[in-house]
Amino acid sequence: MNCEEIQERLSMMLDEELSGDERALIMEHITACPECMKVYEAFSSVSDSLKDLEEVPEGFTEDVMRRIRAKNAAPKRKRYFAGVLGMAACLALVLFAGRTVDPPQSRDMNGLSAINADTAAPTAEDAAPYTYGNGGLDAELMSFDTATVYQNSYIADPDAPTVNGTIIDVDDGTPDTECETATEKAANRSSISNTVAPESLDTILAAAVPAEYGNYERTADYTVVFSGEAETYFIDVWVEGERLYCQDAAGNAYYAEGTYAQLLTLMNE
Amino acid sequence: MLTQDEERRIIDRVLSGDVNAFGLLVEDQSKVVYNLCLRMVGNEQDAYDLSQDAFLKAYTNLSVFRGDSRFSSWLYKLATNVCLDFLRKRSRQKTVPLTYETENGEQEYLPIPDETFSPETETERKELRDSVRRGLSQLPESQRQILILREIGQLSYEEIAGQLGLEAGTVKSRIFRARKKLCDILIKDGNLSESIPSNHQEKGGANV
Repeated sequence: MNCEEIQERLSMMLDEELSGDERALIMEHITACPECMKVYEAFSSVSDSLKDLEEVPEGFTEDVMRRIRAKNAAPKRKRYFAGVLGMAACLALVLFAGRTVDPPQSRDMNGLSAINADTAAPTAEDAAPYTYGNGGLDAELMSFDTATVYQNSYIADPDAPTVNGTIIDVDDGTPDTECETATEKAANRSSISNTVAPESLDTILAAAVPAEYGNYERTADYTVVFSGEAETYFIDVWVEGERLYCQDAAGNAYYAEGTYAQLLTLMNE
Repeated sequence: MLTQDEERRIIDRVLSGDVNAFGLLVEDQSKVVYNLCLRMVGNEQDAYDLSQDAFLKAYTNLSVFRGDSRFSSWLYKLATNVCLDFLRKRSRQKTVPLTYETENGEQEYLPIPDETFSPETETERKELRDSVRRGLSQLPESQRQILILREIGQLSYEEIAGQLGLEAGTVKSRIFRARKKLCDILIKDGNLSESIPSNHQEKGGANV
């Protein structure tokens, strides 16, 4: 055995993957070969260092269990697109594309209730009790993986900026299917978007003042889609000067804490 | 650490609706999972979030966990995969790297501030640990994941091979290559006291 082969076995020896006989052979070699001894020492100290575990921050288990309970307790009405993720994403695209003609009030009747019988159009009873004034967004939304801010191609503001000057294809990487027609694709491609951490929207989109649901006939200027493992939740945003009027998937309407300028900054991050 | 039987019994309880029993698995594995993530991504904040995500994912997917491996080895693979996903996403977002370019065009590490006071031996230990952490971040992902599963997860070659769908021989050679590369990085970094001659492969040395 040459040194290279010996050293590979040294690595195995550290991993307790050698028999007693092989171990003896390797030990015999390294006591006579300073180079392999150095390799052995280096491997050992790296190995020891890797095994030197750091303490878990306090409250770790409680945090996990809190998130699990929140997940389990999540109201059913929020799971508008629960189900196979690919399918949900696909449906979401159809909804975006289709909303040029659907006023917000009617889209639940047109689309969502047909997808899942559990999720009929929101009623007053359904609407989550919101904490107005700096309460932040629902904690559950913060546990979603990402939030994507879509500037809809049919944004009312003709001077709305582009993101870094580019038009981003909002196709989310799922395989193209028959649910995405050429027209829908074109509509999607003319939207611009930016994916951010859900936390960055916590204060911007938090409810500040309650508002009447269905203030707008036209399609939202921005749609923020929170994506988790198997579910998607969205908040539609209309721009009123500096103010943001929001309608969420649970049927709440409110003016947000944040400003249009803050949303744009986020879009350009 | 729980035995395989204990893990199984707890999983059955969770699956039959006793959500709180999952806390026993978290309690048992949090240290290893947190450290796996810490070595995968290199900083405490992300490691905390990602190890939380790993447990959440394990909980969500518990019903598809097949009992043909240890729960822990399945969980470790899941945790390292969560980290790999994160690292890939992060590299797409082009975050600021931990290195900067010096005037003569070399890559240097940004100094990591450390205000904690510690005795000398503790400092040395910490230096090596930080250096190992930085070295790990330079390993190819496939080598890093396997080395971490071995060293921190304490999985055998066979278990790693089973979890990642590889041959045991591949696991063995990747671990070896990862160790060598890591040692080279540490020597360059000045954090391994004894230097290994760079031409050691070519030399015959003592033959057995």
